[in-house]
Amino acid sequence: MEYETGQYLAAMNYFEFFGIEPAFLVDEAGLRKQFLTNSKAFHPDFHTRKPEAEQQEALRLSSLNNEAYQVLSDPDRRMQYLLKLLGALAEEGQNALPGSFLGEMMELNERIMELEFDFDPSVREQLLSQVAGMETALFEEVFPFLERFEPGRELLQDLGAIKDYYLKKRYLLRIKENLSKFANR
Amino acid sequence: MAYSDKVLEHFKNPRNVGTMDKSDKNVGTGLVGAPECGDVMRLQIQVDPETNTIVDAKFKTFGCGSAIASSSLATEWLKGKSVDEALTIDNMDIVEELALPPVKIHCSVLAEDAIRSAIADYQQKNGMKVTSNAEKAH
Repeated sequence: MEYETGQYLAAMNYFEFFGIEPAFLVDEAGLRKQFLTNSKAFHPDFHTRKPEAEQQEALRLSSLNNEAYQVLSDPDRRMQYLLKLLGALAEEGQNALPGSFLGEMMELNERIMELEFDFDPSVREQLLSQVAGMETALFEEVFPFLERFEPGRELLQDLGAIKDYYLKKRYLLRIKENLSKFANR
Repeated sequence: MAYSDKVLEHFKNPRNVGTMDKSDKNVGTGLVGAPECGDVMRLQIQVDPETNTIVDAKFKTFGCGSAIASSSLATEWLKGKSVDEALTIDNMDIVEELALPPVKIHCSVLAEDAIRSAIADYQQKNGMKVTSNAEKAH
């Protein structure tokens, strides 16, 4: 696979390893099948009679297979990986989000803090469903961009929108995590 | 990872936690975030327009101990400073004071960004020339 834009890493990336085109949406069942085929092919137990160098290579491929599958089979990690591959994710601390969104996150966090002092299960439920609603809305918004992504012909504003989605989701996950801490009360 | 005593002290006894009326003309509000960790920080200053001095500062931060300590320290430093002096606060000063380890430097950057964006907000509101570049490159 060759890319004219030259934005991809020179070394073989996880998508190439699985023989698929880089994409935000992948055929997860097909990916799993390929992973299992690879696992069998590279399994160190099947290479014990081979020369040392080949055993080492099988071991390397086997761990690459696990690593690549862990990243590509998880939609969030896959998104982060591809955004980084495309150079669309800035260094930590340089990824800004609009103030309006940060304001919303501030407010949600404040309400969770109030909940810590004065626990009310119905408020927790309400916050959870509010966050779930936001998550769905964000995903519906970003989905067309994920769908129309074409490697080598990626649109900058699409990538910007996907990056924002990825970053916003970090906040929502953190908030959900905080809300789940109340689960046992 | 172990936090320094100063971080712990600010974390346990954060100074100047609170909220100011953001519609007040003399109040500047800075709202910044570190999406990677889901941190969000609001820092507000109240300026005396006669003297261009910061008379009060408040913050509210949802994030790790270092982010809370950085913003707590920032509000302490801001009080009594002129707006121009406040703009000279560098994130590395915060790193040094709190003995932040390299992996937590971004927390101090966040606090510096919050100061700059609060000042920019104040200046904008009052039709002044914005001297703080909120998007300062680090």
